[in-house]
Amino acid sequence: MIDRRRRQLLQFAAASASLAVLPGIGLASEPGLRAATPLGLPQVILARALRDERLDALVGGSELRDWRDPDQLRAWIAGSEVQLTATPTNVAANLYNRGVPVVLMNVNVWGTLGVLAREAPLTRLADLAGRQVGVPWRGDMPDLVLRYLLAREGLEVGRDLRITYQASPFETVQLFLAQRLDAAVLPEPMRTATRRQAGSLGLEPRELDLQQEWARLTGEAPALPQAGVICRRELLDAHPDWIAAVQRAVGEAVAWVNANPDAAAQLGAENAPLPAPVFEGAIARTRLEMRTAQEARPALEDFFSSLAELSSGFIGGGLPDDGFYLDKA
Amino acid sequence: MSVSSAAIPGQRIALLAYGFRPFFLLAALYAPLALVPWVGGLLQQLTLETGMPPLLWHAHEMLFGFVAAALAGFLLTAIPSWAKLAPLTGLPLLALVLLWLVGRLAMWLAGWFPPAVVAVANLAFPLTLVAWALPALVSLDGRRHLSLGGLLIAFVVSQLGFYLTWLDALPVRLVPLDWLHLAANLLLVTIAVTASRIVRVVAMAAVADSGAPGSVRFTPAREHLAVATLLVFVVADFVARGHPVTGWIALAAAAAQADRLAEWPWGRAMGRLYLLLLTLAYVWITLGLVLVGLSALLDGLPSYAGRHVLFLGAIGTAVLAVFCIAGLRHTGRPLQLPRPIWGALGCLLAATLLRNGVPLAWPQHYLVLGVVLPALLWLLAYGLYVLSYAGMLCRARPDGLPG
Repeated sequence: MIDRRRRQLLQFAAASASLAVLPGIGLASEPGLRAATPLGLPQVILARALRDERLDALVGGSELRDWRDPDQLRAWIAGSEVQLTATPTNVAANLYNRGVPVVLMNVNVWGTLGVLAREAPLTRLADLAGRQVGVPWRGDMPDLVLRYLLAREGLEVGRDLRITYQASPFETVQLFLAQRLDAAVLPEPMRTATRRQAGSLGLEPRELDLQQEWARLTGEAPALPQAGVICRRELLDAHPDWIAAVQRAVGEAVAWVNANPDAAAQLGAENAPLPAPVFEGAIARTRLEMRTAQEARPALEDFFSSLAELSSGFIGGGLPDDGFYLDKA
Repeated sequence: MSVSSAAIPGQRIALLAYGFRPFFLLAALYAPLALVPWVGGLLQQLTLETGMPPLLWHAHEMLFGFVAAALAGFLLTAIPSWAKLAPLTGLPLLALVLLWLVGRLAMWLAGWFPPAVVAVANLAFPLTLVAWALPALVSLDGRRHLSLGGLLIAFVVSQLGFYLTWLDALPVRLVPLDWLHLAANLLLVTIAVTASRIVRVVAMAAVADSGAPGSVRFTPAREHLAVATLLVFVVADFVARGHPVTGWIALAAAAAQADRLAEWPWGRAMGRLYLLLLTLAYVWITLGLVLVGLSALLDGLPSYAGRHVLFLGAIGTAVLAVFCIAGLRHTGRPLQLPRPIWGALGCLLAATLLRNGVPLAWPQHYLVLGVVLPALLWLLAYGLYVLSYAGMLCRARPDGLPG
């Protein structure tokens, strides 16, 4: 049933995508900015950015809706229901490679993945040897980052450790809390939420930051270009001033979240079914940094190239070309 | 009913006419309430400063809040009839109720009070109960039931041990959870010991009531074996929880309980709700011990397997059974349980199956089906009890007798 729903959404997205390449369609005459975001820290950043008074005055008001499933986003963005969205970078590249006219504006989430394990030790990925690890969604970013790093660490899935996949992060969390998994790979804020829930059940989970492991195993910076903001190409063409204003507001929002984690956590709690302490923990464990698409491009291409080796479907084709990246800030 | 007990000192308020009345009612009301901070916290919907890990708070309140009130109600009612003693009623009973409430208040505000204050506020109630019960249980008439006095003292010692470990004032390597498991296991022994007294009466009543042929015969040696093996398990589980030897002892104790159950009337008489409730509680003890034993011996089962069969299933059902039976008997009513109690039984049965089965069979639905739904069923079970019995507990006996 889920598969059928998924297929229907994809078909709808594909049909919408073919229509959406026609210039002007979708923007219609509705005033204001229709934006979307997944739950979590991208929502906090975009919610803050859209509260910017100058931006608000410029675009004539805005709407921010949240999406829970990439298929839902694909349908929205391909059908021009939303003109701008926060999104994982691989979803952005996927949309672009499938012909949806989107432009990457910036990358602002640079590391949110971690491993929780029921028992010590967990100081490096090698400690997962012999354990059963739960991962939400096979082939998605958490899975590929984990498998890429495991290979670097010299661990072979199946031989050295077992990975089981769940249909959603919520299932992974529940399996971990029921103590039916030794470890779970989770993004923030699910990671902090789960750590707190485990505490309610008398568990004291250990935690490993996958960004630090990335740095240790690749020799690169502890930064993974995980999420940013994209917009539809025709929005950029019609209102370049709006895009510049959003870009500035997002930059200021990222700086605000880093400087005011308490207030940012409150803002997060207002918009999501998670309490402020979860967002506080998540902000402390996430690397938030505003980089324009052009600034982020080298790191992004390295990241995409590395992970696409494991799954060609990760970005839906080859590396996105110049048209994917917003020309200037 | 026009009969009034106003002439009897201390019984102007029917609710304070006998120990079981206020404590059964409060325990039943508190049973679901005590789950709220823990379930709410687990779902990230409620943050209560509990001053201790939420799991400890949850277990403490279920054991030393909910069950302690139930136990007090039971002892305050049973001991006067065993030891031919005047029951605690009126203002002294009210004072004891207030002591229990002080403990609850201290726990709900544990995040703001110094831990030592929380501990003292909580110990005052059980220590007062012991001070009242012990002289009666060493008296000539009460001596036959001294084993329950011993269990009560051990239960209070486990509570004291919990606070001392929590306050880091014990020089031994124990964690607070060890004491909570001990307290819960002692309650299983209390059920086994009490069953010897209650089941005899109830089983015979059920057989006579149902018109089933034959008589019921219980072998004391088999009852003693069941209690003795359970006691060995309690000790083993305290000193080496999860150890394979403890696992084998749990299985041996389960076998002894099953052997005891074999003597119960399993025919038509089991259709009587009062016997069915007690039997189900005992079946849960047996099954819980099997799961606890297997989880210590097999890698495939998580360490907590079976614990909620014992806690929620056995203790929760036994408490409901005592509430229902004593509630009728001591208010001068025939032993016919109100129909909604069938619903309460069903809720507890489903809650126990879900709380234990979901984490083992469908762990991907742990929070929703394994925690939230059982909590709602628990609320419904004790809600049905309150709906059915609140009137009886708050009103004077229809036969005009005291109590």
